Amino acid sequence: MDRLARILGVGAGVLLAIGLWMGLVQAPPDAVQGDVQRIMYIHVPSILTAYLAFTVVLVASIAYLLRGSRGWDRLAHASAEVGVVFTGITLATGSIWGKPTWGVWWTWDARLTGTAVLFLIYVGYLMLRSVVDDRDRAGRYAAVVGILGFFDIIFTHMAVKWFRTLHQASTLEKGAIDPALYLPLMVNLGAFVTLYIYFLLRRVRLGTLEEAVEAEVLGG
Amino acid sequence: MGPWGYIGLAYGIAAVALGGYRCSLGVRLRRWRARLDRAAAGRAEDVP
Repeated sequence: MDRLARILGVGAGVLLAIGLWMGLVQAPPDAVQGDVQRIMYIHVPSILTAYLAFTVVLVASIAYLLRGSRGWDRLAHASAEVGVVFTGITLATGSIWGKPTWGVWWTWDARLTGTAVLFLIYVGYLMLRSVVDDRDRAGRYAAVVGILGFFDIIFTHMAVKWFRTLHQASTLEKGAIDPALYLPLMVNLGAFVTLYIYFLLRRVRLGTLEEAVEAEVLGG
Repeated sequence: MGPWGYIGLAYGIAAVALGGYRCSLGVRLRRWRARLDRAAAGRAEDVP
């Protein structure tokens, strides 16, 4: 597993370098937004990766509540932590994109607010885990939050359709993106997903080590 | 700030966040591996 993680780490680094070059150099500026649209090449992959991470939390949480296996709980915990990192990047890069595009760093738009709430839900998930001493109990409580938190992803994603928002609708879903912009976006998405899997494997390994130390101490 | 200033800021923050998290994982993994080694060594000493 360590070897796989190393390969994924190197792969993610290579893909990120290619994606960086494509996004900043090779891709043309957007016809309407100009160069500032290049922020999309990290903003969109980071939120899609966060959605993936929280979907893994949902699946692992349901599996943990049904089966009670520690492995599922470790997977959910690891994926939530990595998902919070990617959601934080989404919020930061979105805010920076918003200033030159909308004239404000932040507005209480449904999509933006939903993403901020998503970030807070999973920060809360991690805090909940850290305040409950018993691992199994913490896992059960966190699994409930991990399952309920997923509904905010649906709300956040659909917010641009359900409400009149400042945030634009998904260009990818409309199929209105030029291939010259689509390819760099997909390369960066591939890089972010590879990086997510790499982080996930390392974080799961960390959880396994923590529990092994606890077992050694209690057993000794 | 011009468009490249905003682009630099966004990419810079993303790089710091991802690099910082990678370092944090590395540090925590090393720390817990060392703790496991110490705990295992302590248990080995307890065995008569």
